[in-house]
Amino acid sequence: MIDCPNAEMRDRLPELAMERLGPHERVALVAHVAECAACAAEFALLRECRRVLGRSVRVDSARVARAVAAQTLHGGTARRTPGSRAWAWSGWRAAAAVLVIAGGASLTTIYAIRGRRDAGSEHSSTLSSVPLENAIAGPSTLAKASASAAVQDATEHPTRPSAEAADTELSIGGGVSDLSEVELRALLDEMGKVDALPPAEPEPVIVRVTSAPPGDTE
Amino acid sequence: MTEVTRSDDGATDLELIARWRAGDEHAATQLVERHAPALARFASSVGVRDDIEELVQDTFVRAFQSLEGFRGDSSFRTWLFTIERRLLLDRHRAQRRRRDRVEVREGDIATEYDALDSMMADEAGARVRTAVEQLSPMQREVFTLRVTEGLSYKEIAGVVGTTEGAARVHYHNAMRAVKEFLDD
Repeated sequence: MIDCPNAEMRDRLPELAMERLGPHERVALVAHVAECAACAAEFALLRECRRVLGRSVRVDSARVARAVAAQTLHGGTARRTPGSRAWAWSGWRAAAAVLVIAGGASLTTIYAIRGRRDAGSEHSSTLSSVPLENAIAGPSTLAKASASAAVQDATEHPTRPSAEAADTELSIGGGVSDLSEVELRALLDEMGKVDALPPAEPEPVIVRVTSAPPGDTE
Repeated sequence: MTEVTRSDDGATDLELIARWRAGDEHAATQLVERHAPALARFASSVGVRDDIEELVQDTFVRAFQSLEGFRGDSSFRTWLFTIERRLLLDRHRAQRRRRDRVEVREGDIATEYDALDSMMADEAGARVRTAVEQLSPMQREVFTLRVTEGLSYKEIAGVVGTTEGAARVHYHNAMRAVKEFLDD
């Protein structure tokens, strides 16, 4: 099949097939098609294509209109109905946001716990500030020193939540710092009553040599 | 070519859109009834077989949800074609992903629609349909929009995302391919 060399006329054939040309243009093109075998053949093919491809596909327009109305709001604003893609997408975003927040809170908690543990180790490293006799006396004395510091702190700031109280909520490891002030006191009292508990460090042995008073020799 | 279509009461698309924005639900119904057949025809012409009504519905929902983006540079129908085509591409990508996961069996290729279509269509019509189905996806879209919907090359370029000149070339290449198929 040979194409018409008049591209301008040929380009307008679909409009002629759809009857969308103005009267003057239509007359000119109809005259051209009457004389041009290539355009006549193409015009016939276009009409056949329109007949075949343009067959109406069964769509219930009223039902579509109802569904569209149900999924949209007046004024062109979207109504996100459950089940729609937009709704599902916003749901995913909300879920992702919750995950991010939950993850952030978990990390904050973990870091807080680690921070307290580190602080605890720092606390033990501050033993140098504890009087030497207490340090030598063993762990029970250290605990007493810490407890006394906590008691002092609680006495000075009665409304401020103590670090121990916060640890009660957050800590998962368990330790002396997890105990409340009352529990710590009870523990210290119990420890003080246990005589069999060996000291961690050997007690300093102090040998006192005293001279006997005169006349006390036997 | 921007076609100005009017409803029974003489309202243009733009007037109906304005009425719908003002809260007139009937205006939306009129717009749907006016353009749904063309959207369904286009979907069928480019090879959609299943859920055409759902596709048309999704197209209108998407269109009404983003009416702020419609500036009226093209006709409302052309804009709808653009949205429908994007939805078609999304659907095609999703189907391709599913196909990658699910092994395609030989029996799945021939659909019930194909069989019925072949039986019921007359021979000449079936040949034309087959000729169009041989075209590349881009050629088929351009050809369908030009022949059955009467869109200008400029409008087609807007729908398929190409230039006016490229749309013209695609159309003429498609026409030549159809002729050659029918001449064989």
